[in-house]
Amino acid sequence: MQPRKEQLPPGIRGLLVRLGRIDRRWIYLAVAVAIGVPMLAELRLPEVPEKKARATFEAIESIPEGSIVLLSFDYDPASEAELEPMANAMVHHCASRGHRIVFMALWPLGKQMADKTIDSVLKYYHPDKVEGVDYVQLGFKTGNEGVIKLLANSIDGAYTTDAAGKAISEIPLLANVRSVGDFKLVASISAGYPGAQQWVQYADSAMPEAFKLIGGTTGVQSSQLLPYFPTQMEGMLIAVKGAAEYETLVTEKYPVTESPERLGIGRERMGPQLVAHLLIIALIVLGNISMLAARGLKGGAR
Amino acid sequence: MSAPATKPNDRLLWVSLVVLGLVGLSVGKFFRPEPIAEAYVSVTTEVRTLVEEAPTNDGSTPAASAAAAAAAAPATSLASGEAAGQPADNTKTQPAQPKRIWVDADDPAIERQLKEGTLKRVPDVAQAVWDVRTPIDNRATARAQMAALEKEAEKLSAPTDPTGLTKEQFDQREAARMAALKVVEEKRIVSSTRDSLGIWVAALLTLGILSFLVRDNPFYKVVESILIGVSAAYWMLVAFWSTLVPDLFAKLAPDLVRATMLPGLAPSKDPTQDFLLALIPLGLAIMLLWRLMPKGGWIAVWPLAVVIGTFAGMRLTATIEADFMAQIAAAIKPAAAFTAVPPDEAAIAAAQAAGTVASPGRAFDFGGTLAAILGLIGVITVLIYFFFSLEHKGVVGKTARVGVWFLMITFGAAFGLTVMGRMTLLIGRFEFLFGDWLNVAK
Repeated sequence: MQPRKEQLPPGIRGLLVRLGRIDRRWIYLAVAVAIGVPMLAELRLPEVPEKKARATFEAIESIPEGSIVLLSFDYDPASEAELEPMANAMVHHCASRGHRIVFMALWPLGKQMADKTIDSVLKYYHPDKVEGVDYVQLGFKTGNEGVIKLLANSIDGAYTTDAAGKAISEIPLLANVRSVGDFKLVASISAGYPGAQQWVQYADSAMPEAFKLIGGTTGVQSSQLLPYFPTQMEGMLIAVKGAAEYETLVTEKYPVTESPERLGIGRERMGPQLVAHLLIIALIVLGNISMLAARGLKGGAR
Repeated sequence: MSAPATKPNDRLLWVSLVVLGLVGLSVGKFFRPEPIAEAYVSVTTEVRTLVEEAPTNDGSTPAASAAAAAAAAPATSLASGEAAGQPADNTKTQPAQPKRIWVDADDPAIERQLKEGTLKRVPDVAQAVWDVRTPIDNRATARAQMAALEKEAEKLSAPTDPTGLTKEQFDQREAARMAALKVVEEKRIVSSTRDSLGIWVAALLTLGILSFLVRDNPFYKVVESILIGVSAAYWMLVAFWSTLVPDLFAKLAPDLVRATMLPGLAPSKDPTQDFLLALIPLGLAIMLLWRLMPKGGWIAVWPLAVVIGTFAGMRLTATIEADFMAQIAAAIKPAAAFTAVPPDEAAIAAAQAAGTVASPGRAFDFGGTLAAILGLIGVITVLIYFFFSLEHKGVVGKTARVGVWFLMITFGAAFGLTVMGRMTLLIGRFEFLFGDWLNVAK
């Protein structure tokens, strides 16, 4: 026997109730269109940098030119879309400011992420930088927060060679670096555990005055890290929005002429992001109205 | 039994997807200059020579002598820690092999080192012609680079204008032109089948995962299984090469590891101590694997206790310092916030007259004050909400209710940030599909 078709109220109320019971796949399709159309239309929005992005920018600007900074790539391809834009901008910023960069990774694929940024930004915009003198890639080290604790004691406790197998004692850049306290700035671009939170807990807590700590995080992780700003983390970039603001600051002061899109990925992604957010807000409002309209009906809210 | 019929709603959805796909492909067909999913690489031909570090006067290689010098000069080297509290370097007993590397002999830095004698050619090894392939980010960049190379080659192909030149000047310019032309011709931008195939595989795998949004299907199952299998294998390899080999096997049998797995393994400063220390994790690992034996499973509990105890101790101190004490300190701040402002002209003039420097003034910061007050109210009300020793009635109940509002706002903000993160991941995949694969977007 066929189930009896439910009688919906006539008019707008019925339409609203029906809207609340729509197949969720139509919503997926709407999200796809909301992202795809602005992307194809190349929708770009102006970015006004706010406090956290400015603090991150200032942290890198405020240390003396030629300082040694540690960039920890604590993410993998699953979070690349959110974190690669800020990683690219940060490496360009450090290199343009004349800082020397030590790359490392607490995530196994972080080393590949750092390599990608070295190739597409450091070697591309700063071909004069020499490996071993201006930058060094230490690569991935297993041990999660244990690696940070080792680095807080001594660099060679955690790394005996760089990623290419060269002994730490033979790398000119690290000649006077004994522990993490010898860096002027540490930045963790992090997608979770281990990441920025562990850098706060095991490095910043051990030597709070020794270096500035800044972090770039995914949207999901940022609510965990917000309490650390600005006392324990001097700068913070939250997801692609933070990256877009930071890109604006970096490219305003250190513009590039060739392939500027490499330092504008975050800003490119904010157009589709805006439309998708507007759609989701509209869906939340419609969902609530539909719930109210269905009150009193069988299967509806009470 | 027949398969369930497609619902009308499903049919409409499939039709919409197909129509959207066809429209997208048609738009791409008319407007894109290249076929879909064609990747380019930049190829540079280089002649490489095998060189090795020349031995120093005492017969050791520069690497070995650098390590020895590092141990002897604690003030200038990382090895100073070793000299202070650890046994002396034993590199003399285990001399390192000279490092061999293929280099571009035309590189001025290498040429200089060959002349100085810090590097020397390995005899009886012929030079090799190397094709260095560098993937190009996107096709627009590839096209621009191809056009630039063609333009450069065309410009260089025109012979030197001899007007007003002596024969010597003409010959010099001609030689420089030919050298530049050779460099340009050695740089090529070519279509890469391997990279193009990679894009197709990645695109199909992405579509396979996204197909779950329509309905669970065999395509999704296959892709999901591939993901799980590849991830499991990858993590096994990472654990083997980044933990077991360098931290266990290299300590237990360094010569064997150097001969078979890690030729670049540096000699240990104290192999005996390393060996003895490595026996502890080896023993714990064997005890942990004892769980797989038919009897004596309890043995595995002991290494687990060591792991849990170690991590609990390590995290306890870190959490108390970073998340408890430091957060309390950060929460205690004046309710009224002020910001520094530059001194006004009158103050500067007065300071100049007095021969001093004007101090910056301060202005009331409404936003900062509001944030400080809200922070204070939030901390107190949320703490009261989690205080269960008193019944949530009267003033306590009302305060706890305010705490609930703060918590709800926090959860809402966290949800918003999560949405932003997930949308960015989807945008990243769409950029790949539209850009790298379909070539309809940048």
